Amino acid sequence: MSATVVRRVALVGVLLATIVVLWRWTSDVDHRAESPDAVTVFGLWLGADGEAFDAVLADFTDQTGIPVRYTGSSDFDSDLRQRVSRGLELPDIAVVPQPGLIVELASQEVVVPLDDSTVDVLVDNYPLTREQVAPNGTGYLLPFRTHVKSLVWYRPAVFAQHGWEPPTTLDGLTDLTDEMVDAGVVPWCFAVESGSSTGWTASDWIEDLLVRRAGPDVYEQWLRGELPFTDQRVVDAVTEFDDLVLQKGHVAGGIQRVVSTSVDEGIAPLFEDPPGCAMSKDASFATSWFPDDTTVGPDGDVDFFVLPGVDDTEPAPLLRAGEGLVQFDDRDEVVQLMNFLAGPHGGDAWMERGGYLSGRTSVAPDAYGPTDRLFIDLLDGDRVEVFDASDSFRSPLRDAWLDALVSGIADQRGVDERDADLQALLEDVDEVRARYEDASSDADGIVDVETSGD
Amino acid sequence: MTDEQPSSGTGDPAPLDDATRPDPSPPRLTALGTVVGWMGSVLPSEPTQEAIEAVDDLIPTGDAQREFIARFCSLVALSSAVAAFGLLSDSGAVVIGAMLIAPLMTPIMGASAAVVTADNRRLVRAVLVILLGTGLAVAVGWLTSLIAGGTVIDPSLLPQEIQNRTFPGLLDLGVAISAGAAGGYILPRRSAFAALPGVGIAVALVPPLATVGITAELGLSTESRNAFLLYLTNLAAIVFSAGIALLLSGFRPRAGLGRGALRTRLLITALAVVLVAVPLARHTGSVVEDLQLQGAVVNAVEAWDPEARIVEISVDAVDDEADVELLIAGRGDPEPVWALAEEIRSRFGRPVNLVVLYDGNERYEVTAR
Repeated sequence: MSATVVRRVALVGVLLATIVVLWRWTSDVDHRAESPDAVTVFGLWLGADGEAFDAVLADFTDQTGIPVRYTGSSDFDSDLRQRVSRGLELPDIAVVPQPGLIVELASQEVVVPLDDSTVDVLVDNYPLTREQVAPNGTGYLLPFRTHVKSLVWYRPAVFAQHGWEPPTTLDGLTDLTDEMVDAGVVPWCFAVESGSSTGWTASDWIEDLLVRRAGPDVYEQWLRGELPFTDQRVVDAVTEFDDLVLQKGHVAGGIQRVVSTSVDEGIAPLFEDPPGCAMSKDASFATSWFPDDTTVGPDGDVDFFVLPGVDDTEPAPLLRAGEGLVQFDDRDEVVQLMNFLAGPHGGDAWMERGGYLSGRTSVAPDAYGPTDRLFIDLLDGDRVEVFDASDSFRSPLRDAWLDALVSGIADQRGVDERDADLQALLEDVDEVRARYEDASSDADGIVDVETSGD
Repeated sequence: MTDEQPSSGTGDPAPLDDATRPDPSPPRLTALGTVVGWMGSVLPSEPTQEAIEAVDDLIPTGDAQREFIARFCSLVALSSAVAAFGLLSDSGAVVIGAMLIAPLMTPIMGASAAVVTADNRRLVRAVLVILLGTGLAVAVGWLTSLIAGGTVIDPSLLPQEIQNRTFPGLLDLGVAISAGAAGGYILPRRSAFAALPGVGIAVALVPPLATVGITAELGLSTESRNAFLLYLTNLAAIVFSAGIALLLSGFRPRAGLGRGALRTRLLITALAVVLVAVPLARHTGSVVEDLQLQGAVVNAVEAWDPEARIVEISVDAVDDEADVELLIAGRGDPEPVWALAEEIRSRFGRPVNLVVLYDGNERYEVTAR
């Protein structure tokens, strides 16, 4: 080969390599093929959670060749109810965070029972008996993801700067809140906007206070609809929440921000400099709302303590929640996906990304990332655990309860005036409760699975 | 007369370089040679004395050089400052003013003439002046942003004048090639100098460089890179197309270098144009994708609810996904928004992240993957 040819070949090579580099330098685009027989999944996960779940589904597709389409909606629960009530096309699988909604769907016979093979996979991977998964031989819920609520997030550097310590009792928390106000720091970040579930963050606060002040037994009674909302203990929990968080000067941006800000943006002022608030009570999944590269832990950017109990002689209770899966179709592809999601590797892709906790016994604690491991260790402790009550209420009761809370919060007249109207608001909720009083017994089996399994 | 154009020069014209003398050797009849030979018969075979003087005056040598550099640097710094303030205040008029002050066109035309005449010494001089001007313009943009930018603009909401320079496409290449050719046509014809400000405005060089500085200071590396790509596009296209225009005006390599020298140099500039065209084509492709996405969204809304009216639409087909934001006015409660997202996904064939603001107060967010 002559030198000229070599030179030309080299020139063409360099040119091609440069074009490849430039091609990659600009954004990469790849079309997905639309598949008519894909398994469809409908849920509430958006943003990073939606992408993480999509990665889980991609694992399944890689293994089986079965395509899956996931759609997530901010108005997920009302959307799902509407799909059923209006006879719209139903998904093959739905991700449901509320046992109350699952009971409704099961009673309307729109969901199909778990396949026997799925029940087997669940029994193999979760600390559940066959009877717990499928009471009387029929189960509907596949527990998929669990959350720890009851966490108070704060920035250790800000606490250290002011000489504050995480409190060990609820009264200590009240004192700390007052101390923060005196120091000119707004104590709390808080927001309620969440589409058709607006108000659930307020409910979480009240649930946490109720289980601490009145005890788990009273809480369970309330969860099962056996305790009126006008019961003094419930009223006290609402009032305590009002006094602690919603008082003028206690919450970042005032009531206006509380009602107009979406829950995922509620915590944002915590990370500002100077901080817009000193604390935010949020669930474990709040980590996906943190700014990128935020580190968690005593030496990290942000840390948490469990909302303290009435006294510090025993660990404070934990409020838990979770998301389960139900299926609307029992064709083989759907069952295969349910079995994959119930199995030992059904959450792997999400665990790798972080922000995924599972009740599976087949997943070793070491498999979690450092932040998720902190939550898993909490769950493995000997704390009393209760399930999120508002998620367990039947939809009409849940809607009435959340509406009452949001109406109370949006009342701009101040805490004392709001408290005066509280009784009337809670009486309205009780009226709805009376209509569905006997419905709660249906939920027993499902709630048990949510609480113990996931 | 502005300084974006080549300076017309004052005092005695510099002596005629060997480089600008016409090549007396007869053309060989390759395919290209045939075309060039034919064009040679209808176009001037050698440049006029006026043309040679205009090219010689671009970058003076000797004593005049120091004064030229000082004036060049002052005008680059001033025009970049004017451009940076115009960009930050989102004022198109001020940015155009900066284009008219900017003197960068002079060394670039010098480089183009040096390519055509195969004059390496002149080329090196021109490239050094271009590098000096480039660095200075970016530095002034960066400094202006450091002093004023952070307080007046939000990096997540860049002024339109800056955004316009952070996503160049093939159309920008077309503008640069046409305007570069115009510059190459005007340069040897002093009678046509009145048209030069138009060339300066069409292929703005300093505003993209000021944008590079501003966006770099704001930590926006992608925007900075893209603004620099726009500058490179203009640079490569002007050198190439002005070179062709000068060639057609009769400029040739000096005697003894032959056609090979010209061919190699033109090939290199053409290659530079091809290289910048790759990312530009990519950008243009993504603009086309955005248009396809917009079409899919409009049709999907029509199918979703024939009574719904799109008040505002914002689409972005980025990476492997489509981000869509819609402000919709409709009658009564909206149809299920998840169904709209699935309709868009089905029509566009990619995962869709959809935000709908319905009747101004109801917000829905859906992802259809």
